[in-house]
Amino acid sequence: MAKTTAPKLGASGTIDINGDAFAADWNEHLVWHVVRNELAWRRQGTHAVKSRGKVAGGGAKPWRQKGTGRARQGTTRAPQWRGGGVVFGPQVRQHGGKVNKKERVKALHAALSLHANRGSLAVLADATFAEAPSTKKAAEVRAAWAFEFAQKKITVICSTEQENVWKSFRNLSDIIVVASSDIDVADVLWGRGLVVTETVLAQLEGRDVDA
Amino acid sequence: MTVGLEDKGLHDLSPAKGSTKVRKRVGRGPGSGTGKTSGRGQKGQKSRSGGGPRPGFEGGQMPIYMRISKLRGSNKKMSMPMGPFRTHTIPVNVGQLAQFEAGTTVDAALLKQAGVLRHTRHPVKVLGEGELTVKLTVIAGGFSAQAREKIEAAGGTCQLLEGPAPHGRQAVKLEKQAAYEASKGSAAPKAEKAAKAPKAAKAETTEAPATDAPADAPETSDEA
Repeated sequence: MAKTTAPKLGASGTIDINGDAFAADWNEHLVWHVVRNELAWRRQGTHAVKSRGKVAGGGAKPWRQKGTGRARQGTTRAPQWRGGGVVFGPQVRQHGGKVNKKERVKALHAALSLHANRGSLAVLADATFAEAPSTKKAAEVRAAWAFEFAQKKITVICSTEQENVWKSFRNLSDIIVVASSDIDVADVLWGRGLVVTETVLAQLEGRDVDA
Repeated sequence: MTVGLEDKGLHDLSPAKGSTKVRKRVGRGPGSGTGKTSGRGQKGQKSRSGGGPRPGFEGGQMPIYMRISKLRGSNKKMSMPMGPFRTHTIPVNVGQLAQFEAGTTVDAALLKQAGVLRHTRHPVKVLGEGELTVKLTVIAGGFSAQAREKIEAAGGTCQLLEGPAPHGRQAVKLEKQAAYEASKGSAAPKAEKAAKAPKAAKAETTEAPATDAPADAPETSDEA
């Protein structure tokens, strides 16, 4: 199953892919679990409404308890009133939760391996943008990759030092660039194709990335 | 719809079958099955929000958790010294002893110094996990048969502490005392303490061969 080479971008030939990170089994439930949590963390969570206690006013009893023929009421801000508070409404909060570290690493490996196995992984030569950033060059690099991926969404992973890579790719459409220190499984799967730089490949092969 | 791995993307991940559950929405009409009374039966205490007596409540009769006396005394695990009723020990594996140099006498104080133990309030029991090649004299409150075998195979000896090891408040006191004296660096109180502390003074070599070791299990050793 394992395809152990990937095309090299910005240079000719292919490069061997090694390491556990690119040889993991696909575990859909685990990946789903991790991705769901990652996306939940991205929610802004700044929606809120007021409960009956928070709505201003409503201090006086609208009418006396007995004798009016109307239903008893204690405040004009009760939820059944127009202008009243909301029951169990949204409050400002973070939506994400905790995922076990080992699960996160396993899910990341599964996602990376998915790309490696189906041949949607390419390695960008570090020398390509060593001197200066160039979006033009980045577009050429993308076009030079096998046609089936050239038109699709691509995730680029560079290291935090490789600012030029980020600058080169960031303005192209259907491309996101993420730092290797901060890989989300969701980002890896967002791209139909995955491009990692040589530096990042070494990082991923050499040690377990604690993303 | 399931998608092959070839086309798998962010949008078609799904959880394993049976791992998620749809929340029950109560009070949503007669057709829902949990309409009208929302699965709470009919009127009464248990149908109100937060309803029902608190756990353990027996209708006003003295409940069982108050009727029965509290568990105290000698059969309470931590209240006793090592012995017939008390089996609480800190496990230390022989593999963790491998860090010491040959010829060292290893006791609880040294283990604490080396960071193997966080405290010395409970007796140490040496267990058999790991490998040991250095010759050590090990002083502890207990040895598993395997641990004894490994220590002796490496040429070392096992010394079993006799009698109850300091525990609880007494151990804390001794620990503080030792730290205080160590900071002062005076020799006299140290010697005095050594005489008092049953730990250091009453260490006794058990020279049981490896084959007899199971019979000499630490749980029974205090009878000696």
